[in-house]
Amino acid sequence: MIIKLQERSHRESFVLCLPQVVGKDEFLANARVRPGTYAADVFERLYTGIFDRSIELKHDYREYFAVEYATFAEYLRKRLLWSSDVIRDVNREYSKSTQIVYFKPAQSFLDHEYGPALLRKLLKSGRAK
Amino acid sequence: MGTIGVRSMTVPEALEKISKALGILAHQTSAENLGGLFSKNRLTEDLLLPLFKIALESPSLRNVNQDRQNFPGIDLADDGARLAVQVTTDASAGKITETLKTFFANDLPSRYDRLVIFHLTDRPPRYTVATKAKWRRVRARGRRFRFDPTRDVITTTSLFRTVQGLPHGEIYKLSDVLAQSIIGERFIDVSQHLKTQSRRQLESEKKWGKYIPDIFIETRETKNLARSFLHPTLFVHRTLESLRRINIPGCNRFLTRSGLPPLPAIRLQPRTRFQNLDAALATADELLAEVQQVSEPLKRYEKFRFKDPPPGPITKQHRPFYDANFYLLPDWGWGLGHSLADIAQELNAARARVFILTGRAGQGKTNFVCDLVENFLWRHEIPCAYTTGRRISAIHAPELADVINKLIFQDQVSSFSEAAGLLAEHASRSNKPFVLIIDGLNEHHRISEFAVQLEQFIEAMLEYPHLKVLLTCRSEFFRQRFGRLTSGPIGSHVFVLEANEQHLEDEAYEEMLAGYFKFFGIAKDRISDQVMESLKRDILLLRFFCEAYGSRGKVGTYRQPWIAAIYRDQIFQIYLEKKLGTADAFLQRITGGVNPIDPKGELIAVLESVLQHMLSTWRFTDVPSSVVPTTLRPALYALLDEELILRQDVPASDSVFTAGTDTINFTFDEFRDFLLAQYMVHRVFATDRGLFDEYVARSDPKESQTVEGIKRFMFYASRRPSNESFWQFYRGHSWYRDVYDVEVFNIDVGLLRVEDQETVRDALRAGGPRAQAFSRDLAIRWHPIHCPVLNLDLLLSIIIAGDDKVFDELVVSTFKRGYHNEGYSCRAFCEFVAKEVIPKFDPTRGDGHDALFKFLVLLLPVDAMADLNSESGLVLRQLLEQHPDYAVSLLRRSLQYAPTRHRAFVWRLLATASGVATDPELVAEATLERERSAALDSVLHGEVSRFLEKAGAHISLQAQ
Repeated sequence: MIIKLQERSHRESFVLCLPQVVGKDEFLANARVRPGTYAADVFERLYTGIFDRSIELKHDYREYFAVEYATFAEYLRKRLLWSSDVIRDVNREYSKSTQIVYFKPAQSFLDHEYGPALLRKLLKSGRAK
Repeated sequence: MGTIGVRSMTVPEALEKISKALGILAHQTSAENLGGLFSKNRLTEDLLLPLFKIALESPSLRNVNQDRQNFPGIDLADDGARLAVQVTTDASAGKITETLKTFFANDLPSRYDRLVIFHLTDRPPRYTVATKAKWRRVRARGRRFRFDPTRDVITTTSLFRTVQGLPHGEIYKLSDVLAQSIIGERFIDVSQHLKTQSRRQLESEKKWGKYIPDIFIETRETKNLARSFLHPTLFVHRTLESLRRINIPGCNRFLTRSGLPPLPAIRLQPRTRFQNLDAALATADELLAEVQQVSEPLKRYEKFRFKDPPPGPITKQHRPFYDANFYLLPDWGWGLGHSLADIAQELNAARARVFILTGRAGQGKTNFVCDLVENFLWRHEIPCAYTTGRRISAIHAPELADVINKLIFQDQVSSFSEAAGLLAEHASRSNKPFVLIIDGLNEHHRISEFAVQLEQFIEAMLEYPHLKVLLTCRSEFFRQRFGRLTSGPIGSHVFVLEANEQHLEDEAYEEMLAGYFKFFGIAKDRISDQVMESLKRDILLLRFFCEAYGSRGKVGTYRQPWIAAIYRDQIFQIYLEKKLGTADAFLQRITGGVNPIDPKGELIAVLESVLQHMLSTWRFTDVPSSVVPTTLRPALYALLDEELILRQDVPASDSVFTAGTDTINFTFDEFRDFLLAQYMVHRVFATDRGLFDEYVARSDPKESQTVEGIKRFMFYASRRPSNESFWQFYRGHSWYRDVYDVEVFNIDVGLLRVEDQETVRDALRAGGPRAQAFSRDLAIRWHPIHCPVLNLDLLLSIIIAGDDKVFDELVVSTFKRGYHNEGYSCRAFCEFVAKEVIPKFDPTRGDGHDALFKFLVLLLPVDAMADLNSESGLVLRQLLEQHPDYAVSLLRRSLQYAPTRHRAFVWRLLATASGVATDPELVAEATLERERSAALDSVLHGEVSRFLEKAGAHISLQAQ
């Protein structure tokens, strides 16, 4: 599940609730880019942006905040100050997700309605197909 | 500070003490007294951990149950020495087999090479040869782990043999630890003392309504930094993870391709958790130095301007890439610089020994601290003590260190050095710092004396490892009174943070308001939306408001009035009455007497003495307490109690040979200004006109803030019908005019006069910034019933009758989008109409929305694009869709207004409205407009022509 957030800074960001972790090869295959091309470079950077440069909320909660906040929803509310609608949607995915990634893209091609659709396609894992 | 005492013991005596202690421990264990005097956790943490650290040469040994409740298989571990210890009272072979199974099931041989099983018994357990051989055969593939029961199963007896072989210094250390903890020589249960103290203080804060858990809204950044300060072992690791997410390699690729030097690399530590507090702090030190190294070269990119030459020599080979991308440098430098600055802040907070949170009154510092204690420190089992400036001032002791001793240990320790030693040892054992929290430094009654004491205390405290102090203080007091803490020898250990996070989401503001209302018993359905909005933006006002109108602490028959608007003078009046009542109850308690004629008379007399002194000296702080007559001393103390209205202070002495005198200040500055204004009107003006003139003629830039406050509250007072004679006099005064433009909108609408309407109308006609300011204030007062005198209708009457110049000034320039204009911009207005008004609007009801829609039409040209699209245009299209008849009538009426700026937009909208183009009357009007605009306004001419083309198409279609 992909949830688009409108940040106070007016930048768009995404919450990516991933049932399985998607490998880089699979991600690039989903993007249908040929290795060694400029397109592959762009999508590799997108992959790194999601999996290496973004915060994984389930891990963050379990490692650092589970003592302080009794539930994941409380963590999202108090720590991230998200709205109750977003929290409800994310919390529903908690048990089904291996990772919940809070992704703030640097790529402008993810703006507007196109962004979630593209991410959904890229983050499809083999087992989920 | 000195050490805990002079040693006079010999080594044999020390060994005897250790032997005795181990004997007692074994005896108590065999008697199965564990659950009584020593719980398993206490036993491992307090008694055995320091013992094993020395005896097993594992300086980083820690209680793993602190990492995770019921850690499987082991109790203590030293990741560096790769040693694990299980403490047990069960000496059976089955227990050892079971422990080994759990150890392997949890892959612990990958972390530890040796497992020691410590039996709490003095008799060596006996196992069969076969069993011991079976244990010896236990191996993990590819691991160095070995279990040798002869070496690894130990008892108190074998432990003592190990102790005997230790260096003398280590034997003395062990003797001290065991003598205090097991034998009972001056055993101080630090953990219990801290729990009791902090719980008591927190309960007191709750009882007095200073901590209201329901209203606490986290300020994310402040709490984040506090976490790093309070729990470095956990949160430096998180900072390390954040640092790892920053794309420095990517940045370096970009710089290299541009031909610019790469940033220095940061050596990121391995991902394992820190073994102890010292390791976390050492990492924080190293990382901070490296982050600063990376941040330094970024500054030149942050400041880079496009016209600047390249920030370094660019070779021919790199030139094309540089030329194509150099414009990214400032944003890139700024973004990366800020990310690294956040990391550096967290590391600085972790390293600091003193964390000072400052902020204006009413920003929620006490709530923040209480929440921190209850939901962070206690839950993470971080040793802490929590007190307040006021509480400290109530304890008489020559030094702050003595006060802290009394508060925490209740005189059970003889000196601060002993207390600090115990706390440092306790902190070291729990691998978390000990944190002393002092909330509200400024609430200490003798603030100057306290500032000096605090400085000395912190200097002494810094000599002990792992002791930290968290302080809160009102910003203005901090700079004046405690500023020295940030300089000198202490300065480098101090982290100061100004709490200024007030930009909460709407939902968070609503939660906070709901919490306040619940706690104080405010009926939300008896408050207007306007009041709700005002309260969300001003927490101090919210507190005054709730105390004034809430049912908490009032008689059972109290019914909250309907509150349509916020009037500060009214709120302060009610607050004063309430607080005088509380102070009077206190006065009766301390004097044992009741004054039946004028119960609050003495309290008011004290206030009058203070106010009179302030005015006569024209100094509004530090009134010497001697100005209050001795006979009124009990009343003064009643007012000082809990600092309801006044607080006591001590100014700094000019010389070491002069003693400071007790002084009095008002607790809240704004409340003081209210009382000064009341005194000026009801005491000075009423009795001595000459003196009044003298006061209002005074001008001292140092006191300008107070004077502004007095002017404001005198303005409110002058508008009360009961003060008519004062108003007649004061309305011509410059003080009245100084605040008129702003404050006329802050008084009860029932107190407005026709004269106000005339004043504002004249100002609008005169134009300029004053007219623009009035335009903004009138525009948001759109409802003619709630705002019958100064409202949007008044503004419309000027604009509609004015020319394009007036229109441009009062509409286009005034409501255009801009950071200075948030809340008053055309955009905000349109959003309000689209979301709040149109969905509920019924044109048949005539409920006062007409002015609002008229104004919406006038906003059409504001922030409009060249293609005539604008925010207002979108909202009017929505209105046209939902209420076409009303919208068309509204647009047609607007064509009669004198200004022309909006007309092109109106014709564009009319052209889209169905059926309108066939109206012969409108077609005739359009024909005239086309002729008039032909030479004057090409845009208008184009739009009206388009309307007529559409009308022509309709007519020809009809003709066919």
